[in-house]
Amino acid sequence: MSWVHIARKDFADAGRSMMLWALTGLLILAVAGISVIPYLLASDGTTPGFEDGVGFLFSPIGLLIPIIGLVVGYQAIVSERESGSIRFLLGLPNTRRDVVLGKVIGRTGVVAIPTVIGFLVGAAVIVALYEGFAVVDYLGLLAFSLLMGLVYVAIAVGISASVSSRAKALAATLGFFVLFDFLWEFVAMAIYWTVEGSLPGFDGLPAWYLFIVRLSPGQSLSAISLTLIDFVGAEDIDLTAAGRVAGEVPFYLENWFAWVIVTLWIVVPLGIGYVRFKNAVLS
Amino acid sequence: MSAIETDSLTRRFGDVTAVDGLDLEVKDGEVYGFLGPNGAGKSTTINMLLGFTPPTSGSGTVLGYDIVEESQAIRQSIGVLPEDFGMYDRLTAHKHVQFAIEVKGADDDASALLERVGLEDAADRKAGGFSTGMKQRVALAMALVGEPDLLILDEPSSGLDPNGAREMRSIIRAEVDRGATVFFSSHIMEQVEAICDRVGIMRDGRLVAEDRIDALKDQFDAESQLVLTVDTVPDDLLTELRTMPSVSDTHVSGSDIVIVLNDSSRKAAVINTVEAAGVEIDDITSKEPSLEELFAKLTTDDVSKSEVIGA
Repeated sequence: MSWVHIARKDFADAGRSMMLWALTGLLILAVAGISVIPYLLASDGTTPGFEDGVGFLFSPIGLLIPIIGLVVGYQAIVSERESGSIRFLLGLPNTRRDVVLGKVIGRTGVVAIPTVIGFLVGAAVIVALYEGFAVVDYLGLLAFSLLMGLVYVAIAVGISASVSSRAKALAATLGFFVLFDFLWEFVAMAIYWTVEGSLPGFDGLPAWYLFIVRLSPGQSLSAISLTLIDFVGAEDIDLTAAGRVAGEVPFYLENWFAWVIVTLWIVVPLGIGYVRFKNAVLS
Repeated sequence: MSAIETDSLTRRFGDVTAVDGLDLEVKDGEVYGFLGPNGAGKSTTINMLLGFTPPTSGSGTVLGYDIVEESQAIRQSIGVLPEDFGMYDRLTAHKHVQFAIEVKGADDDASALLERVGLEDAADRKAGGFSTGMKQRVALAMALVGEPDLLILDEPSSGLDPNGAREMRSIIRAEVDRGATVFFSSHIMEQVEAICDRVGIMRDGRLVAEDRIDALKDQFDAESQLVLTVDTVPDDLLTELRTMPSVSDTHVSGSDIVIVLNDSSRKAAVINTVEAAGVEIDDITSKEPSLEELFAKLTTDDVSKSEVIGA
């Protein structure tokens, strides 16, 4: 159970860094600041509804939290290897599994606390400026943000456990982010083009192609978000794979299956990181 | 039961054999100095004992636990002062020790431990600003957590001033009196002589000598020197001195006669001989063989393991 102590120490250590405070400031700015924009854009004399405020929040949060999760996580273990404090950690009766687990929990806390504070401040802004406040939806968005934080922290800690230098961890983390958060749809398109000889349209697509698209953490998280939050207009344009597939929707394109993919995005990077860290020679 | 026992313990890194078939035995309750120049394989050995580096072949136990299979149990029962460690710069000295107490489930008082290592004034300062010596003291306090049965100290006096090194030795002695076994590595001999029951000397991954310090000196027929500052040196004096069985060599250096003795208890006889020749002695200096010289001899000369161990 010593991962509890590691998580607590890690959070205390990070909590004394400028990073936690910078993140808190950034998230308050993001959640509270961005939710003001629809109010400012609304025509005179009308009070926009809650959905307008929250709907506007979704994309910036979806971009910001992955970056924050990766930044907070990628140094978690490798920096201890570089500084030599890992010798304290592993000279004490901690196993390497305790270290990986403790780091994920500790760093997820580092992302979660500013997220919660940001959402509290955001709630005050939304209550003040908008018509109505759907508590359940707002909590849904918060829960989703926390889940997203956990996923990206897990990926980054997995990378951090796998490599022997900070530079490698940074390169791998950047590479991951560019591949899966920016290029992934193009990768899927390239595969489609190779197989079918043409570019994919918007609907009537084969299930395997949509599944490849769905495999990125961002896409699978988006699918989950639709089950947690009622977005304005979400029912008008069916962005889910179900609306784009040719024929029957296979189970792996249903939204519940996105939970399986997201769970794998937490477990697999950590598993690989743990195995590589367990076999690492610390000399 | 031995505190530490290794059997043909070997670690290779690519083509380099860092530790080569090491058979080490550290007895319960002793202070064992693990010596050797940098790169001799001391740290690799300690890294294997702690589970940081798996052995390529061979095996070992610490306090009866297997170093590969039962590493966590080992680290629960020992205290470690690692080499080249880094601190959590944003945490205080107190928090560092508190962390070790929590992980070990011990009931020590962090403040009392910091006082013992002489850091009570800096207990609430962040470790980021600490000097090497202060960091070393925090690490020692962490090693002392939970009254460990065995202390493994890797270069414990590095970064300490002479005063700090003396305090380190007195803490080591107190731990031994409590019943602990102490195993420490060093590349500096002078700190070892005062405190070790036995020493093992590593060279190129092998143990080239292992014994009590006085026994090691005897093994090497270590020679002491007598330097007499005199007014004149009569021609036949050196010849006469050379005939004495306890004198193995002698020469003149300025106004000094340097006499190399193979039996240091015969100094008086030598002095009597010189005075009997009508020479007035202004000053007498005696040099005992230092462990330093012995160490240099063992780790630089062409002394093979069989020569020493089999002597």
